[in-house]
Amino acid sequence: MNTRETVKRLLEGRAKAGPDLRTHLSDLDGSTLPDKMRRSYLWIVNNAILCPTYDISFGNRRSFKNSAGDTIELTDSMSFSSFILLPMLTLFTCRRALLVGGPGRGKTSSAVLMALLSGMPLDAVRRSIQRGHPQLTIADLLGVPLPSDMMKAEKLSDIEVAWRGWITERVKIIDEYNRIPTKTQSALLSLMAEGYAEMFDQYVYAGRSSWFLTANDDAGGGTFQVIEALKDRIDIVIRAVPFNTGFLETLLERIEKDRSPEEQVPSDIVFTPDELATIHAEILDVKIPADVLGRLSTFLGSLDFCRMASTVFELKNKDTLRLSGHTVSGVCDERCPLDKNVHLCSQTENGVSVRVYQTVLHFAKALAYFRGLFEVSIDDVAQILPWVLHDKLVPNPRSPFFLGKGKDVLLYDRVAWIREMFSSAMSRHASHEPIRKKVQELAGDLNRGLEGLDLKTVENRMAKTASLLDSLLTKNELSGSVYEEIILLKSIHSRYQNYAQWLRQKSS
Amino acid sequence: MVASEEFVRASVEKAHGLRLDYSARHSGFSGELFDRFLTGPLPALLDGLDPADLPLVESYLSLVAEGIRLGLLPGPLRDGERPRSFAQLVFSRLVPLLLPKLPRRKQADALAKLWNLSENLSSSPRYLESALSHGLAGLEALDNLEADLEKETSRVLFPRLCPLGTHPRAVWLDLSVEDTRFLPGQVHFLNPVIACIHDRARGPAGTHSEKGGGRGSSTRFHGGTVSVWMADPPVILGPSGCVEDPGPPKLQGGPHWRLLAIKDPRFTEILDTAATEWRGLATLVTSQWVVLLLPEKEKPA
Repeated sequence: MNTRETVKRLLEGRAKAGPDLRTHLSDLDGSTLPDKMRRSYLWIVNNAILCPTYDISFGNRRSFKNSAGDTIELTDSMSFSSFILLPMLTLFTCRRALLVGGPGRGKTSSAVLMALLSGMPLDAVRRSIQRGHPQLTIADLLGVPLPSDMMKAEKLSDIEVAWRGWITERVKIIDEYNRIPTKTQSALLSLMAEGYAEMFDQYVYAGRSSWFLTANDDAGGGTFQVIEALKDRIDIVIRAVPFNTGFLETLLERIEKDRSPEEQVPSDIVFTPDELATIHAEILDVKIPADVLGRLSTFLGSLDFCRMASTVFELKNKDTLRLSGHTVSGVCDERCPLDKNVHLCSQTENGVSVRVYQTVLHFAKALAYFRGLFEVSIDDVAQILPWVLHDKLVPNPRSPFFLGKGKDVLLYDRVAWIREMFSSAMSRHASHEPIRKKVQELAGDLNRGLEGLDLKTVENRMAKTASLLDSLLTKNELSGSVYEEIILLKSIHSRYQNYAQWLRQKSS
Repeated sequence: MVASEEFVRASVEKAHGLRLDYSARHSGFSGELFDRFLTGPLPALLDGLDPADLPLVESYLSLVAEGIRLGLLPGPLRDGERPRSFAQLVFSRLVPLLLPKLPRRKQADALAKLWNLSENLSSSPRYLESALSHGLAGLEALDNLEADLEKETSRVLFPRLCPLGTHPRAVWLDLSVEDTRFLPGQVHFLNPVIACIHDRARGPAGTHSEKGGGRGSSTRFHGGTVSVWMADPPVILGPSGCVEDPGPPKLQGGPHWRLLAIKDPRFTEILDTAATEWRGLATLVTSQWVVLLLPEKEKPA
């Protein structure tokens, strides 16, 4: 290209002079939806929620430490504030978040901003917030049967229920949910868990939506104890952060302008229903590489195992203890030969449910998508885990791990505890990886299908499976992750065995 | 000529409408930055126009608002300040001072071209934007914008160069003028006449990628590098935004440096060098100055 061509290209663009002697600008080529998500995040950080804590970070870390052992890390890539980013990811994944923290920390404001991003007008958002209080009835929450119908009705279906408008909104906000009476909580549970509510044989459906619940205290310190099932339906816990006095000037400016940030949300960061649906679908399309899945299973798989729970191999898990009214702290002692400072099973009273696995994967995809990536990295998983597992994992305070120097603090800082557990699991992952690969190879063979396999091949594979199982059991320490592999091997063997049985019957 | 009160009022009203509209619609827009254009460059533009030119003023204000939203305009240019973007030069100086001198029928077209140029340069290599901002800062008229631009572009991208020969000229350049803490480290060429010098203390620049920041943020994180236009006289172009790893220190153009070490006592232990047939550059272990090798005589482009 020569100078003239270069200059010609430099002067061409979206600005054109019109016949009216004005200069007209055409629209920029559409920026991507992740761009828009990041723009929304930045607007909230810069204009709405004064949040100095950047606790979701990526890239290489540099630590600074004082003589007392206090450490802070700087990274060389993007960092985000969980208090703003996680509600956004909840909005885009249509999941359920609990915002916890002291009064006036911006929990409700954050939820309101999410509703505004979803395109709800401010007035509608304010009207739709359900505020928990001890007298909140099911009728207050869900709606009432029309009085005229009540007088005339001959059967239940004749009664029309006036459902409350908030139920069908894209974003649902329940303020101070731990002040809601237990009976009303149950009604809320069916709406959150199943997506519908029932009254007088009539149903209302919540539709695809994101839930934001707030509480001043997540340890059950509200007016009413939160029912376990409702707690279990919460996908992620977001901790509010204290105000930093460095922002006092901004606060002063806000008072002087007499306008709240909620009233000033620019329209270019508001998402249309179509955009929200596209984002939801594109997040689900983000790939999770096999290595990341393997690492995640090394970590989560080792939590549920308890060698002391039963003599039956398949029942060596924490559910066995729980169902019999026992705890890990009661059985995790010197009778178990595993090193309690190394093996994660000693640190928790419970494992995690399938729902938790799904939530971690979904949020990790959303985080990768937000960062503009096409596949999830292990960093995405590591950053998401503490918030998803926050209320799901119960620590075993009598574990020798927590008796170690400086470890007792991890009993009340769950984010730090889960991060440390994950990092410990990752350091052991490399040594476990060769075992996992062998098991995955056998699982891969089975997953390709049994159709067309002859008896000899099946018997060969069964022999291979049994041999690996034997080798794992006899030559390895029975840790949580080895236990998971052995259970998987047994299931592979059982499926081959059933198929072989069928082949034998067919041929006889 | 001083703009009439009515014209100023009408223009300011348009500006306020635009400010409200942009504040409501665009997250990247800053009303505060926009206001700074209303008190600096706008009055200068109005002084050169008459009330019939209100559509042109509106166009100017719209482009300023759009420039702020996209992060092209970090505020109006102050006296003595080097432009941080070509758009800053255009909307602080070139348009307010030179656009009124054009015939009315050419004004909107020139404004459109200047916008396009600013926007295109913002996504071009940073050294090109800096070099053209430097070269066109002294423009006195917009009548021959294309020709002036061709001349400057040619000097940067397609320079006519003479070989260094056996007796090149050594020119010393103090980079502490750019940044008092800058410690010249590894060097490499960005094009035949523009070199990039990395700060040896600060590590690679630009690790905070634009992708992560999103379009609206337009964050340009470019500490840690300085580009130098090895023209005669040389020009420090400011941060280069280079994210390349320059690799380990190397010795290029050895004979020239050996000769210089004999002739000039200031030329002490070399840290890194870069040299081609036409230009050479060296950084020293104990100095904030860099040494440039230029041909004895070079015909201007």
